Amino acid sequence: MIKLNNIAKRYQNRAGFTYVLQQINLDIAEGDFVTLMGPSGAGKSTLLNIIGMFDSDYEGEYFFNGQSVHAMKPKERAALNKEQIGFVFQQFHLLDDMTVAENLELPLSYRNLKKSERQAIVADTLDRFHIVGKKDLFPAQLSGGQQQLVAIARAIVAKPALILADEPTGNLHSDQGREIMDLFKKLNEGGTTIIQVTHNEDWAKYGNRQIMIRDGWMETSSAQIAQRPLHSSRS
Amino acid sequence: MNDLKFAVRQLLKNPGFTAVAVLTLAIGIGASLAIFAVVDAILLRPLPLPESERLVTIYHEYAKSDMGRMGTSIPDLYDRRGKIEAFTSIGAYMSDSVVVGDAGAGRREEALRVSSDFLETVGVHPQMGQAFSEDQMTFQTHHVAILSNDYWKRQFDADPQVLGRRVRVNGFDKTIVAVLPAGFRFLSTQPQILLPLSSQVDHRGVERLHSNSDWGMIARLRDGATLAQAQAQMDALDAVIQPQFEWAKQVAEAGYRAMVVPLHADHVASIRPTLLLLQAGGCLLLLIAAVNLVNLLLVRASDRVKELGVRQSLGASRGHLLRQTLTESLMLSSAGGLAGLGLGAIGVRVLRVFGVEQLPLGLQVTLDGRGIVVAVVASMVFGAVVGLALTAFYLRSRLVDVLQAEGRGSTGSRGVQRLRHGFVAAQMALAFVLLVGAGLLSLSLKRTMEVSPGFQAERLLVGHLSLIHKNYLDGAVRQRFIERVVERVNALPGVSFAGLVSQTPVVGKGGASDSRVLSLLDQGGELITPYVYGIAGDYFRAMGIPLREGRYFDVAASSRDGRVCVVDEIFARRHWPDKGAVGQLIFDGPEVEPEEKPFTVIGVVGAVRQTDLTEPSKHGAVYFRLPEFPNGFDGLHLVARTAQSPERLGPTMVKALRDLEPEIPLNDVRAMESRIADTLVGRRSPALLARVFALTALLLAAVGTYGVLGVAVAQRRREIGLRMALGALPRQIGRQFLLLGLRLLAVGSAFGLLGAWLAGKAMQSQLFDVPPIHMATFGRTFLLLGAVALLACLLPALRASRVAPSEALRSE
Ligand SMILES: Nc1ncnc2c1ncn2[C@@H]1O[C@H](COP(=O)(O)OP(=O)(O)O)[C@@H](O)[C@H]1O
Ligand SMILES: [Mg+2]
Repeated sequence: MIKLNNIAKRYQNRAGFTYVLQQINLDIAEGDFVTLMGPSGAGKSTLLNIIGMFDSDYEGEYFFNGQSVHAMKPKERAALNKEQIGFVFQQFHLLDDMTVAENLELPLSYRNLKKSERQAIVADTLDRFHIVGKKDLFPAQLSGGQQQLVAIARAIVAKPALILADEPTGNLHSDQGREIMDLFKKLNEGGTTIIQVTHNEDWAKYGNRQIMIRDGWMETSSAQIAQRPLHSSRS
Repeated sequence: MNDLKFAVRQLLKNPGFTAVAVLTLAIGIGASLAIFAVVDAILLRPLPLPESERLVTIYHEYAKSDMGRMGTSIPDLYDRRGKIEAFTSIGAYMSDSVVVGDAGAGRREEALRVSSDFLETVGVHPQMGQAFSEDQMTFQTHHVAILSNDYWKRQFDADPQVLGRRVRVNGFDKTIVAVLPAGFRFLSTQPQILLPLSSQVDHRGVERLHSNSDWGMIARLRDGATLAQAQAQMDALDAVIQPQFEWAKQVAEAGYRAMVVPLHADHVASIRPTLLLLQAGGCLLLLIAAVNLVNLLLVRASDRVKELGVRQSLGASRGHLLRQTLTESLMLSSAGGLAGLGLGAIGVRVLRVFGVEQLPLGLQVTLDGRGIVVAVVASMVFGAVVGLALTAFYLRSRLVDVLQAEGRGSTGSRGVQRLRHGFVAAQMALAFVLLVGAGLLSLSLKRTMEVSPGFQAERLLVGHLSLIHKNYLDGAVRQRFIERVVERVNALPGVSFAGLVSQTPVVGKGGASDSRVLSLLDQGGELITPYVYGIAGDYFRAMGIPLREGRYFDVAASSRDGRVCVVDEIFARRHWPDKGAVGQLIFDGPEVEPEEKPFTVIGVVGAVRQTDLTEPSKHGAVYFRLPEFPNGFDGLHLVARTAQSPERLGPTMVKALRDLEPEIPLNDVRAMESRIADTLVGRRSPALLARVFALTALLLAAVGTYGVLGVAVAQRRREIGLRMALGALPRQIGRQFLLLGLRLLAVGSAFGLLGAWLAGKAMQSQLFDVPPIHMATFGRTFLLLGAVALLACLLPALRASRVAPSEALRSE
């Protein structure tokens, strides 16, 4: 599904360039549940944003289902993202002025669906996430866990093939975290590919692959890596 | 959830914000709209006559003399008719006011005397009946009248058989020959009755050129003919006709030319710069309001950036986002536009109070469909532009950064902050410009009002008498009547002196006094064109015009004086700088003719302002006794100096004259001071309006400053708390914000100064006795703006200094 060849990302600063990602080579198959781990500042979010197509300013090649994302125009990239990817943020990023149901409907409203279709999907999703009773509440009236639940529901409402989750449980208690992870598990079992970032060893185990990132370099810690990355020549 | 619903929810969530935003915009739009209604009615909209853009007027210019602009004379109409290829027709007119109805029961009505081709020229066909014919244009045959539609309905109950009925005008019976269509207006008048512009047939020859030049002349351009062609043909015709005139040489030397100009533009030329100035002021106010609104919207910039980022991450295209922001800004701007319409409608009423109806075409001022369309379109366009600009601004940050945690957004918000500070400074600068503009106009008005007219305007009552009446055609009868009027009014208790004059200075009709070509024994080839007055009774004493030399006319024994005149000091100084004026001789006409009896100067009086308070006359004035007044007269002004408030005496005087002669009513009786005040309407209204604009601008700038600093304090509470926890004193924190305000004030004032200088230069032609850079006004403006800005900063600064250190620990 995803193939990254020699992805590198650098930021300009006063001294010149700093690379925050280097030589990232990665293959992710349909149905994978990948966990990215690593210390803070290692470049996990940066990588996730590249995969999520929010960031196009990088070196190297990125193929998604065989299409070369790195060569796409912004519009094409946005279209592909819209079709394939759902994103879950550490800060939930629910819209405060919209109810739960309205937040869920939001991604659908940007896709060509009839009002009745949209409402059917929203009702369905509310049902599936057991939050029907909360549908008219505003985010501020929910607990953190509930908010993240809604955020995940919103991420999958348009039926993406790939879910990217950047520290989805970072702001949650462990009970709430577990609930979220169970949900991811279920989604994965339903066929959705998932890439998550987490610091929690337990949550990492939910996935079938773990990738370690340090200082912008990849280290593998799991067996099923299709293409061996070049081992760091430094350190 | 659709964009509309979301936008409504957002606006209702912050009612304070929404109210201020809508009100701000409404003020800007309302002010510009009210002024636009005036500009539209007076300058833009064509005259309410068919194909009015082809109407021109012809006036006579004597560029090298003091007479300036004059109307045309009787022969001009007859010489020019049918001789100018570029015109389909030429007409002449003269405004008048007549008494319609029977003696005692008569009412004064606005009338227009018109030539036979007038209606054809303006393009109006009577609703019934026929326009005047040429053979009705003599004093023997002019017993006909055309009624306005309104008058026909009002006084004749819309009688379909009205043609042929009689109507009494100034005591004469006239046969009604036509009724005009409804709503007929000519320039600024709405005449109720049209009368023939009659003349004596033997007054139509070239020898009468350039005399009694008080006929207005209009013409209609032929299809395809240009103004330049018409002017060229007019010049060519004059080249043939003028040499036949007896004093052709003097006329040529005076710089005579018949000017052909568009009727509408010419009619409103005097008020045009003032209106444009005010429109500019209104637009400036709108600009301030717009800046204020954008600033208010930017308060929520960081929230909006994030919200749009999230939407983008959920699949929203730029189009989606644009639509959503546009929905909100358009809703805000159309709410502002609607409220602005309301304010504009009120504004137009207020403008009426300010005297806008007295401006040329001022009666047409209304807030109509055009104004409404302009307001709605303008507010929509504004909403769209703001929506677009804000969307572009919001989307400027990279999506990745927006979606990342709070931390890295700080550079973005610093940009917003700088933008908002820039906008506050801009508001201050604009307010500064408006304040200075208003200050200069007010100062100019004040200086104008301080000008002495040359007579004592207080406690002076003025009324108008029209002697056009069949019983008063004879000179001797008139003279007797005049003497009786003076005697009668003088005898009224409370009147100290009374007199009659052919035309009151400064407040005369249309501001134009009579002038006449005179000659002296050794005048050295110069054309002498002083203002001339015919007076009777104790005119000088009544007016309070001081005697400089010699004596006034002898009131008591008027007949013994012989052919005498009084000149003013300007005339005396100009022509007899060394010798005294008393005893000198003055001849009527441009050349001394030996057989003619001259007037002997018996006195010199103080100079009065003639047509306008702000313009001292160069040629001075000559006063004649009414029976010998060479210009002749059909109407007179009665002036009476009163012991107490002149208004109180008005009714008594009217009644006294009615007892004397019911056929000749005393009209338009008002105090001189209020008449002078009327002449200042062209200065007072703009000055007042500019002041209203400027104070509104100041208020908006204060709201803007307060808003921005208030938000800055609110957004930085944590930082402030942290500083406090680290040992900063409340005073230091407060000072920090105060200094920010002062910096904005300094930048705003600097740009404001520049703008005010430019505005002052642009306004120069409108200012009387005020330089474009008036330091005192600049200084006062700076102090006022500074005081208001400081106040607007003080509150947020105070709030900042009260932040508790514990705020530092508060979580987001
Ligand atoms: N806009 C930016 N400008 C400069 N450096 C950045 C920017 N965004 C991220 N970085 C740097 O990139 C590195 C990786 O960041 P990130 O991907 O957020 O790390 P993490 O693994 O904690 O998610 C960090 O060192 C961070 O400071
Ligand atoms: Mg991260």
